[in-house]
Amino acid sequence: MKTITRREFIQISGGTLAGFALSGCLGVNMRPIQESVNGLRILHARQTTTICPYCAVGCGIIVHTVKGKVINTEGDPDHPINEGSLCSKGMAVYQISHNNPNRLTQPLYRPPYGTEWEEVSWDFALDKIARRIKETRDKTFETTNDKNRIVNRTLGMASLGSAALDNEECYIYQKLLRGLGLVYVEHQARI
Amino acid sequence: MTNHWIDLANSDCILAMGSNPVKNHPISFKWMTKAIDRGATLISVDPRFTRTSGKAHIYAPLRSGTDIAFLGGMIKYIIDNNLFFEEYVKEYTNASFLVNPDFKLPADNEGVFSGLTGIKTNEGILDGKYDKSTWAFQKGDNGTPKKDPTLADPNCVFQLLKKHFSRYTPDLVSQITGTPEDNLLQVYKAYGKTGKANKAGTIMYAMGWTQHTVGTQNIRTMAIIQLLLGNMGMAGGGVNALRGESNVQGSTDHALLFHILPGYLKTPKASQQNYQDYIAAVTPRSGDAISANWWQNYPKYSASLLKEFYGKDVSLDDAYHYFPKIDDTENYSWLTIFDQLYHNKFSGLLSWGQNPACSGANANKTRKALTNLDWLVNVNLFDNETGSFWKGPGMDPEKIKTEVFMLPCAASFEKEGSITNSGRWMQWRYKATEPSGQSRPDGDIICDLFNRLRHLYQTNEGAFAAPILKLKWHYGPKDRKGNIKHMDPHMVAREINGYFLEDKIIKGKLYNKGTLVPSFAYLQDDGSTSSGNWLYCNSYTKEGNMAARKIKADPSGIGLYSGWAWCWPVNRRILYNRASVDKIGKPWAPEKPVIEWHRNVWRGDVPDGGWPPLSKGTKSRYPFIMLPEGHAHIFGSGCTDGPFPEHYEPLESPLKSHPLSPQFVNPAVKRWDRDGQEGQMNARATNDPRFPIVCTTYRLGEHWQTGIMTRWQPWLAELEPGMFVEISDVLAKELGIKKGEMVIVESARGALEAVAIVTIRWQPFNVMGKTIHQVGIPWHYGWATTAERSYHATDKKPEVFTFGDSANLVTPNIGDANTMIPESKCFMVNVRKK
Amino acid sequence: MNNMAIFIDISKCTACRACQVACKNWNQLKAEQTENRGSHENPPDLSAHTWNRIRWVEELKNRKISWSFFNDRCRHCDPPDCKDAADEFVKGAIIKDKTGAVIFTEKIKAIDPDEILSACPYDIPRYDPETRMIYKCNFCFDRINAGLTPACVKACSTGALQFGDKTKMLHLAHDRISQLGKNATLYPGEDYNIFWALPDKALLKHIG
Repeated sequence: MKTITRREFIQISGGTLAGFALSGCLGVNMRPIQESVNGLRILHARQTTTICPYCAVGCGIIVHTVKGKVINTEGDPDHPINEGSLCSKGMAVYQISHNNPNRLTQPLYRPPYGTEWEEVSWDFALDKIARRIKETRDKTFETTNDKNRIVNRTLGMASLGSAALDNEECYIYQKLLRGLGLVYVEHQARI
Repeated sequence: MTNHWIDLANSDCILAMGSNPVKNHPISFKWMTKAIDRGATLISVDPRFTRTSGKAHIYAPLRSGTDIAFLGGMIKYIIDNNLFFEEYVKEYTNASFLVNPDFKLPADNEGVFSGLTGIKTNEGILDGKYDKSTWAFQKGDNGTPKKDPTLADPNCVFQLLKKHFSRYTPDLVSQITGTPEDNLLQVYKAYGKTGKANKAGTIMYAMGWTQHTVGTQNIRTMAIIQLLLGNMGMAGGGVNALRGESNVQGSTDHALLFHILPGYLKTPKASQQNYQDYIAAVTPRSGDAISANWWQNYPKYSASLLKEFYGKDVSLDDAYHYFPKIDDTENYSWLTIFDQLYHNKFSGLLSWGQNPACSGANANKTRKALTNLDWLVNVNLFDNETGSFWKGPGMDPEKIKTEVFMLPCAASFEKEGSITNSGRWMQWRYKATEPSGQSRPDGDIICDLFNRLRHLYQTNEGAFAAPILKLKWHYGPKDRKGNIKHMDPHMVAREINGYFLEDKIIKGKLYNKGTLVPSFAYLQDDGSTSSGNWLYCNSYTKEGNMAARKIKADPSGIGLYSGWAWCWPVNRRILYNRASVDKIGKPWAPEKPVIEWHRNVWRGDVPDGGWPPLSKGTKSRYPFIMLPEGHAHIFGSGCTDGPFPEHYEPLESPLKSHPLSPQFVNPAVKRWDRDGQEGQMNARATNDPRFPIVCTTYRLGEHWQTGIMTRWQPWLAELEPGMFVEISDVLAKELGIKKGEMVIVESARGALEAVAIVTIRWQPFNVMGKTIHQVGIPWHYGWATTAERSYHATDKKPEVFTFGDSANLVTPNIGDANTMIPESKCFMVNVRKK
Repeated sequence: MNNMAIFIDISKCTACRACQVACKNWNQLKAEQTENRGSHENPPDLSAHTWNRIRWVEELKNRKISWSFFNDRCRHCDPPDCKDAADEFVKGAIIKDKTGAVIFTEKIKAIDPDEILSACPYDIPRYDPETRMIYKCNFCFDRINAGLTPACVKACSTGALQFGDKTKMLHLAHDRISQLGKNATLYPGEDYNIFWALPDKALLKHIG
């Protein structure tokens, strides 16, 4: 038995890291070699606590970041429910972050009868969406129903979602929808 | 959950039925293990041998859709063997209440309860509706129910329950469910042991119970068992729904559903034309001085909600007027929405953080319906089958008119805010990094959309603009135009909690205008307080953000961790906890007390109201404070389909007739399959030789929901790369199918390709003397991440492809009679080699 | 952190596979394009990118279903045959370090990979022709040296994976085996830094 020397550590890390670099198409960012050499990559990382976005057990997760980059995620040992452990999904949240090149990163637009997505700006998308909502609402707004009772609603559009939003977002979202007079307001809890 | 995850460790017997927690809520097993190590029994009841079954002391298979028969037999067993907790049943439930003598049970009324009208067919009544006037209690002088404390009166709830379930004999139950009789009795015996005062049994259920035409009644049956055994309110007890999304509890609490407003207030109806009509219709009354009748406070909560929406200067009447109203008898839920869209009845859809093209039942109908949209907004982290529906299988983009917007949103750790877990813990999470690329937090997108809509209505004519222009919206720092670029979650959380809108003296103490309301007990019905959600009032107070608390101490000794995060209501960790003590306030289970009356105060968890125990007479209150009578409902008139549960066959059944009744399917469900025009789209195949195999759907631990967040993650995609069907070795032999072969699973509505997993974990059922086969499919897949589809340069392409499409291509178009949750857990298919 | 061990209690494993993902996450290993071959087991084999995988054992015993999950990976033998094999060519190419880890260094590239691969009695290491390196579980020796538990152990929620001082882990293992009954056994034995409690000796034929 022996203690690994610094030189050997570099060799080991370098060897492993070379594997990453050459295997390519990793879908995840390469860990800078220097970081490993300096010690454990999470040693000087910023730790942020979060709650797992999957099932409703509500496990604690720590996100390690260095200069705004997610370099690791693992279970929060201080969390009383999961005490550091996670399931396979919770263990993989690293790949939800910017480390996943397949995240949607720009608004996309598909015009009527279009055959492909077009990348557009937020202003373009949200201006158009607001106009569509207003047009539809104004066209379909019902002040009264067929029994001549006041209903102040639109059945011209629907909203689905979302259990993936934070509480605060859910609250303002339903407030916006009800302010607009939507009745077709549903989400995951119904399926 | 009435209880919470850690509390599972306190249980003496855990029944996992309608759920597979070991696989789908893996960390729950950590706490189940602790219970088992203490000597608890784990029972798994499931059509197939699951991961949970693998760890269970008792495993019992049952045919999908027969849970009420299974549990009805348990009710009979508990009563016949005197296993119920008599004092609890007599004092805390409505077992002793006398029911209207005109009320009829199905055994005496052609298989249905009294009061049903509908279309008569040779399968019984269809599209039925109950007049509930006979489902009522005989009333005494002060309007409270008449009781027989001896439980002997033939019209008392207990005797009716006994009579109703006397038909559910072990032999008959076994014939319906396919569960061997000795196996049934093994489960009944083990679970019945929790009827002892100091023992608690718990139920862990999930979609395996809700996704049925009798979904609500599945849960009712178990609730009755929990009441008979005195398991409600206890540590290690309760009725525990294992919710599947990280914030589906919170999104339900905040009412992203058509029938409720935040805090489970009711959506105004057209018959409630003004605020006074509304209040009168929704506020329950009780003549019993010892009943808390908590919902008598309804006007305080509704007034505070209206004030949060429209502010101090809009009167309650005007604010109420601004709210949309629903027609009294109409249903506006998911299946209706897609049926309306399929019939081209509306034109715009916001699909926010959802993938209905895969998640909705009968996906072919859903996908066809989407083509009728003029515009679609899809907000998501990843490309998905809904946003890209126009290029999915069988679609010709050049013929689809829909204008589609796909907006990228931030991931959970790229923003700050709270979510509420299944145990009702509201937990704060923090921002670790900036949103990826140009993606934005959902809250910011919502605010931005609101800014633009308000601007449009400010500068243009439009229909009834007041509800939009007057909507109070100060959820973040405003720019010069009054627009909010970034939602501040703290500001929203404080509005949800609520403020005093004027100086108010309550119980002799002054609360200043503009300060946070300490808890919902302080909310007012006169418009002097605001609160976006009364259930969350107490979550953000002058002490700060309660959801962000991280005090990891457990002085309770039963794992309440009351200083960790915050729990609704008022940080009460176990609901109905007044039922965990006897009349003098002594815990039924002294070794795991939830609350205890000690030197004239309650100690332990936050009690269900501070009143002294029942021995203190009129100063006290009954334990079930949310019900007008204060007693738990063994007999309940709340459901649309019966005051007691009754077994009915699923919409699609392998049987020709119902084994104990002339009524085949739940008579109160809405039947889409009878709509002549698109018979094919809503088709039903019951007892049909073309579709002889029962099929169910389920989840994997490695994927989540429609797979949108997990299929795009290479580490998860490699673990479960594609659609499969699990088939018993017996059926596989009959069909000549071998492990790993590609097969077609087809129903009356659609078909899908799957890889055959041949396993001993599925076994045929012996039902009514007939061999019935069942198979199972997961529902996480979709065409967007497959290798076979075409990828354009602007399309994202997964690093690890998955195989196959949504299980919902074959599921039926029918919902539960109460909730309209689709019957995705039980339908008929055929399986053949490709 | 000298002479540490991982004890794997098969009876507690649910094949949630958090350990498989934890290994890929911590070691930043590439995902593999897999397919369902009529089983839930994936990836199909250990590889340069998969150092730890769960194998499924499903069988009927006395009409009851027995379902076991075997977490396959380097046993971190003490002493390791692979190290002896490597030392014949390049001294120190494989290290048995103080934590108990068997570690392959870059020096291994100078050795014919077959010499290393054939030395392993358990068929664990995998050669990657692209990098000319041989890969396998490295015991998360970097985490251990920093005072952390290996990534797989930390992720495990059921107590199937436990980590600690080898003497203590062996003690736990023997306790557990006596609880599990007369058919239970320790696998592969005591001269390893990773060992398993098998609830039934019959499982040995599946582990091979």
